[in-house]
Amino acid sequence: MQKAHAETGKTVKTGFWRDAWHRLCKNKGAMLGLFLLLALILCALFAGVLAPYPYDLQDYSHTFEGPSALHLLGTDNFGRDILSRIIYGARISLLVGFSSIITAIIVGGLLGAISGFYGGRVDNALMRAMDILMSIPGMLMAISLAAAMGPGLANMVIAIAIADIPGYARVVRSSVLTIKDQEYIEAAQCIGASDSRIILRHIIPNCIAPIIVQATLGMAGAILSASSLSFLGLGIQPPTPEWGSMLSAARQYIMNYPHMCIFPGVAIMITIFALNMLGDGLRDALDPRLKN
Amino acid sequence: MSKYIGKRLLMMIPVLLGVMIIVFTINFLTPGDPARMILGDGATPEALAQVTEELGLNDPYLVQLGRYIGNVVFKLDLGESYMTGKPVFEEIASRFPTTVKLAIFSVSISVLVGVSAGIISATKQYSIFDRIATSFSLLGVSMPTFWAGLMAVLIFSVKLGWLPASGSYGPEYWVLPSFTLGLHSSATVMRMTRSSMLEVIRADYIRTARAKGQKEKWVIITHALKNAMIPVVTVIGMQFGGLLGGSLLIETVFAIPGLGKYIIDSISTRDYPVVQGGVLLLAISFSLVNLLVDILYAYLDPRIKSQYKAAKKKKGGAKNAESTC
Repeated sequence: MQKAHAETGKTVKTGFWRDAWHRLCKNKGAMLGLFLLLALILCALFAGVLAPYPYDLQDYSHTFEGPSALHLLGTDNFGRDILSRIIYGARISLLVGFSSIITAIIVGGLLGAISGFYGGRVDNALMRAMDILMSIPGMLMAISLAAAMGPGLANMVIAIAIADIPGYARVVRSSVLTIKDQEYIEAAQCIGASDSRIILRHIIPNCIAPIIVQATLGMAGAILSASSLSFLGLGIQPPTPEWGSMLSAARQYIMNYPHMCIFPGVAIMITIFALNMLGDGLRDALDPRLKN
Repeated sequence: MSKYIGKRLLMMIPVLLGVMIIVFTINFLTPGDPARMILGDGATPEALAQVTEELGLNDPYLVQLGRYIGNVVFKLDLGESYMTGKPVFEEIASRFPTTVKLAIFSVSISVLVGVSAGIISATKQYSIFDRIATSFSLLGVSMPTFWAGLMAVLIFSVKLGWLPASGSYGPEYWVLPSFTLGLHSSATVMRMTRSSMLEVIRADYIRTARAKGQKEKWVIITHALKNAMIPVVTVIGMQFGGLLGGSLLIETVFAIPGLGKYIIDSISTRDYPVVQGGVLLLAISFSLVNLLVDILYAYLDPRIKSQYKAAKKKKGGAKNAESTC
C-alpha cells in the first residue's frame, strides 16, 4: 500500500505491519524491552563464547566468593562461576519460554480456530473444556502436571504449555468469530476452498496480531513458571544451570552468602521485565485503540 | 438477582466435575505403584497384589473415576495419605485455614495498595507519584514471588533483624509472607485500576458531574470508581488464583505449615492422594472465588441486574397476555 507524504509529496509505503512497527519504534519502553530481549537471546546463543568459565567447572579453592575481578558475580558452594551459570541459564529459560509458548499456540490456536469457525456444539464443548482447564490456577496446574510427569526439561515444557492452552484458544476463538463473517472468507468458501484451508490459510494468519501480544506476555509467564518449578525441584535438575534451580540451591546459604541468591533473581527479573515491556508495547502498536 | 446467582451456581457443577476429572486423570497417569508406596520396597508380591485389589486399582479407568467422584461428593473422602495413613481430608482441613489466612491477608494488602495507588496514579497522571508507582508496579510484576520472598528475608530478617524469617508462631510471622504475596499482586491490580480509571474519567458523564459543580473527590468516589472497578474486580479474582499458586511457593520459602507447603512436601514424598486432594481443594476455592466475583459484577454493573429484570418483565408480560387471551 502506498500513500503520498503530506510535506515532501513522496510516496511512502504503508501497511498494517509497517505502521505497527513505526508505532512500536516510538515506544521507548518497548524498545528497551526489545533491546534487553535481543541481548538475552545473544547471550543464550553465544553462551560458550561470552561465559568466562564453563558452567560446571568446580573450583573448591574459591567456594562462596563474593563478586571480584576474577568472578564478576562471585562463586557458589561448588566454586562455580555464577555469571557463567547465569549466561548459560538464559539458554534454558528462553528455550523453555519459546517451546512451551509455541506448543500452547499450536494446540490452543487450533482448538480456538476450530471452536470459533464451526460454532454450535463443537464450540460449546471445546470452550467448556477450556473453562474447566482455566478453573485450575495456571501455576497449580503446572505444578501438579510436573509432579505427575517427573522433573525434566520436556516435562516442564509440556506442563507449562498445557496450563497455557486455554488462554490461546480463547484469544484465537474471539478473533475467528470476528473474522469468519468477513467477505473474503465467504469468497474462499464460494470458490470451494476446504474448511482446513480456510482456517489455516485465511483465518489463522489474520489472528496473528493478538497471538503475538499474548505470546510475548505469555512467554514472561512461562519463564516465571519454569523458574518456579525448578525452584520447587520439579523442573530442571542440577548441575544444569537454570535460574530457578540456582535460587533453590542458594536458599540455604542466604544468611552468609546472599550474592548467590541475588543475581539469578535479577536475571529472571530483567527477562520478565523485557518481555512485559515489549508485550505492552506490541499491544499498543498492534491495537492503538487500547492505548491510554 | 437470585436467579443470576442460581444460574451461576448451577454452572459451577460441570466445572467442578471437570476439575475432579482432570485432577483424577493426572493422578491416574502418574507412573508408580501406589501399593508399593504404602507397603514399602520390601513388600511381597502377594501383599502388593492384595493392597492393589483392596484399593481397586485393577478396575478400569472409568470405574475408578466414578468411585473417586462418588467418594468426594457424597462422603468427602479423598483417600488416605500414604505417609501417615490418616484420611487426606483431615490432613488437608487442618492446614487449609493457614493458607486461607495467608490469602486473605495478601488479597487485602493487594487491594488496599493496588487500588489506592491506581486511583492516585490515574487522577494525577504523569505526576511524580504516577511515575514512581508505575515503575514500581512494572518491577513488581517482573519479580518472581519466591525471589521477592527471599529478598524480603534477606533485608528484613538477615540484615535488619526486624522480622522472623520463617514459621508461623505469632502475628509478626505473617508480615513478610503476606506483604511479599500482597505487594507482588498489588502491582497487577494497580496497573489495571490505573488504566480502567483513566478510561472512565475521560467519559462524558464524569465531565457532566464536574460541570454540575460536584467536588472532585465525590466525582471520583461516587461516579468513576464504581464503573472503573468492574475490570479491576476480574483482575482481583484472577489474582486470587495466582495467590493460591503463589502460596505454594511462599509457604515453602517462609516454612509456613499451610496447604501449599503440604502439597509441595507431599510431591517430594510421592504422597499422591494428598497432592490430588490439595490441588482439588485449591481449584474448588478458586472456582468459588470466581463465583463471588461474578456475583459482585451484578452489584457493580447494573446492566446485569437490569438484564434479568427485563427478562422477568418480558415473561410476566407474556403471561399476562396469555391470560387475557
